[in-house]
Amino acid sequence: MKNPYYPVETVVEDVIVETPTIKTFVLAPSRPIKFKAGQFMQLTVPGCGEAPFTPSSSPSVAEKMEITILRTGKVTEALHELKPGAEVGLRGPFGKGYPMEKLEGKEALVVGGGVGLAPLRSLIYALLENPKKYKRVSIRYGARAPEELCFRRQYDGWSKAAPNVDFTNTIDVPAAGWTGRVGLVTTLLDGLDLDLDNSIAVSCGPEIMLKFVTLKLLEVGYKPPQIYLSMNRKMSCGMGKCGRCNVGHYYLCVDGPDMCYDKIKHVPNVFG
Amino acid sequence: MLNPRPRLTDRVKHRYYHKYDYLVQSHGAVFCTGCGRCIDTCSAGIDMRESLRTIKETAGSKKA
Repeated sequence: MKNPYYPVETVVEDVIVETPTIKTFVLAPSRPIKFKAGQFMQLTVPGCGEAPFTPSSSPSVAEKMEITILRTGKVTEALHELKPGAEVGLRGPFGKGYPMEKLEGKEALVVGGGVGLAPLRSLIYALLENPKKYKRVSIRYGARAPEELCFRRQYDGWSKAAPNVDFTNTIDVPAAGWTGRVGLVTTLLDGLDLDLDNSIAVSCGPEIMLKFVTLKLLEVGYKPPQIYLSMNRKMSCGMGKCGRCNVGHYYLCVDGPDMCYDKIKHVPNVFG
Repeated sequence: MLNPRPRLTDRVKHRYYHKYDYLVQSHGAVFCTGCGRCIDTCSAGIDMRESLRTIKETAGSKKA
């Protein structure tokens, strides 16, 4: 029997510095790994540990995988020390991923916060690959400061990808030299010009941001079944066994990590 | 070792929810085998059956 805990040997091909605390790792697994946007991988740093990450690259490329990682704990600190050529391991993919079929023919609202744009970039690649399948793709993104905006070089490309695609970003507090919008990402949801009845919102970011984005979306008229949240907690086994990632009776690693808010809205302290 | 539930209250809660609620919802069965070892070993003398009775009686009220 195939051992689900055995990782695929993978070489770090390149390391791209996105922000002072975020790096993108271009990974070349020894055999192609097919994944869907939003599904996550378990990335092993030999001798250090394993942690769950969602690829930030296009799901239609299986030979290479990009994972964008914020330096925040033991494993991610070790990752940030890695140089091209280093060997790591990948298990997965796990979870269901984003509801791609549900988005077809709809107005997709993508709301990202900080490094939360990483999993969403995979979704954006998938959406922009065939923008005609969706009525509209609206991307709203917020970060703390200008230097913390992820994937800066790509924003222009996204907003120009198709006539039905738009991109807006904001930073939390004013900064010298910044001429764009200032305010939390929820301020980008004021006065939405989307056809709300025919829209699905997908959000990823820190739990506190997911909470306020959800409240805002409900306030402007979204219904719980129209809201999908990338909960992405510390999933461990990936197979619904260990119970680390429970949200109510759901396991994020099997039923998520992108959960429909309608399914989890009754869970006490759903946002941690 | 990182604990996915850093607060003791969350861990205790998860223990009850897991055995008597989550798995009832997802698998349709209570996942306590009823061996009674937890009652024998608990140094604080907590009887899960008692706790469950209290939970049942106070469910829905703010008193719990």
